[in-house]
Amino acid sequence: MPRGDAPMYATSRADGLGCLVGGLLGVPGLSAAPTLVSVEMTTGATSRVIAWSIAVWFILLSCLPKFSGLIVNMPRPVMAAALFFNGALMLVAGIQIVASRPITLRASIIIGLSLLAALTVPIFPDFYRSLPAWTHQFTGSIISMAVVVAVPLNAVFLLGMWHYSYLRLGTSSEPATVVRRFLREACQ
Amino acid sequence: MAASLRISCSDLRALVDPSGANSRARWNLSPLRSSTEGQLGLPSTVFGLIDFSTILMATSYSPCREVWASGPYVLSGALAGVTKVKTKAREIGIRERPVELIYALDEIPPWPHLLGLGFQHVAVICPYLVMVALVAEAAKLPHSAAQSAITLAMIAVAFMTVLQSLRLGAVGSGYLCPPVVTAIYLPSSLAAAASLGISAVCGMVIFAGACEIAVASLVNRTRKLFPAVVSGVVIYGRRIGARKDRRERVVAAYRYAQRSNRRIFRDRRLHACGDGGPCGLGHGLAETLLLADRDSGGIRRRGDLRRFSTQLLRGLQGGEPIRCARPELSILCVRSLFRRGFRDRGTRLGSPSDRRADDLPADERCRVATPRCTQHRGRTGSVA
Repeated sequence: MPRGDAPMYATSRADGLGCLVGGLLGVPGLSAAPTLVSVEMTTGATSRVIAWSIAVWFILLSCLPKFSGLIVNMPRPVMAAALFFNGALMLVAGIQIVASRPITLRASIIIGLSLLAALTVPIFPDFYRSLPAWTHQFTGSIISMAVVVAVPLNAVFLLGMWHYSYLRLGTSSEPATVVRRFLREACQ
Repeated sequence: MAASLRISCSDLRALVDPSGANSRARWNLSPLRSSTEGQLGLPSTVFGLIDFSTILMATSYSPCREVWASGPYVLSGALAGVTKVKTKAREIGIRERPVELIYALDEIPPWPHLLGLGFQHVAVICPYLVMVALVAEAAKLPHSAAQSAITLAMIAVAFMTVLQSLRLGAVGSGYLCPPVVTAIYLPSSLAAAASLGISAVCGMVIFAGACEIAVASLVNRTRKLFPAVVSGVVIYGRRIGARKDRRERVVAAYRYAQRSNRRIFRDRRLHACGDGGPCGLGHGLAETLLLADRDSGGIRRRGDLRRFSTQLLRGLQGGEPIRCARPELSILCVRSLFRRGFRDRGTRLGSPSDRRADDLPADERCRVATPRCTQHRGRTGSVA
């Protein structure tokens, strides 16, 4: 197995392939979970061999109809609790991702305007309903509104964002540390 | 004999003479040599066979804590006091190993730990399976079909977990990255399931997966357009809007797409299941699997697996339709994939209980309606 970091496209392609297979099997949709990454960080176990263990457990559980019956017959309040748990994690994950980079003035405008525009959808539904029909697919939901505002704003703010930097390597420190620090500062 | 050489970072740092002007030109190999001899018990001749230049060049790019030079195959034999060693550095890589990790990426935990860790992940993933039950409920699937859907969801999660942990060419991250049934799709899936049935959900997810595969190669190029700020806002907005019911909007968008894509929707060979979705093939296959699993009573024993396979083959071969409680989910739509002339109208607009006659176009109403309507059409035609 080749080592080193996997290219992003390979990861994304596997995610898409898994989603496609999930669709073929009648699953609403699969995606990598930040929750499980936090589990791995907590337990300190990131061995890829664990994937096989997970697969074996799921195959075994899939052969137990009573287990799937347990989920199907789960009371609504318990389902709601599970969804609430999921939603809370997703909410925090969104905030964490936003705050993972320094919030500059441009980022502030992108975040603020996107969220404000998204929140206007449930607040002023009549206004958006009065718009032409073809706009409803963009303004019909909070998520689409956030995307419609955030992506063009980010693209606009990319204008004039060229950075020129140089690095002079000396002998006083380790080159790897210097290069890493330089790249980290340049990518912010 | 396969030997694994583990070199600590301090050893590697000791290799470099920091006082030299060109540090790469001055390697002090004695610590590494002694370490190697001490750990593996190899003679010094083996040491020279290992390509340390690769290690050392790599360490100059990455400050590592530990470096694995795994895979130097040492074939040693003692014959007349002479040791012949053949070493092959199969792969030499650099990986940073955080000290807080108990089991790093390539380490294999003991069996009890492995099972326990796997079960821990399963316990975290299982609550997400509730979403499958919700979608099945929204689609008004019977209890047994909902159970089968959850069973298949578990199989899909297992498949994707293993797929992500591998590096199969251009697919797979090579990391432990288990998936869950994500809530990103939940509102749309609920709306589609309630309006158009489970087949629409399957088609939607298949289409989403295909799109993700298609744009995967553009991820690096489009990263500028989707920085962390935008991604975070989207996820945040997703959570805010997750509770809003968008069924009407989805239906409106569907109707709009139907009106604006008459030509595509008329082409039943492209969308064989005829429900207007973009993935007729996906709908058909998904329904085949789901229904075959349900009608065979689920896979519990070996006999059930045989019955499941039989049902699946019958559906795919276009044989007699599988007996199904809900005719709109009949396997007939899969038959249409193989019989060009066949057109299934049952899945066009959801279940009969959900759809109204007004939802169907005029010509479609006349085709599926009673002989009275046929007579009416005949009279209309004669007048025209």
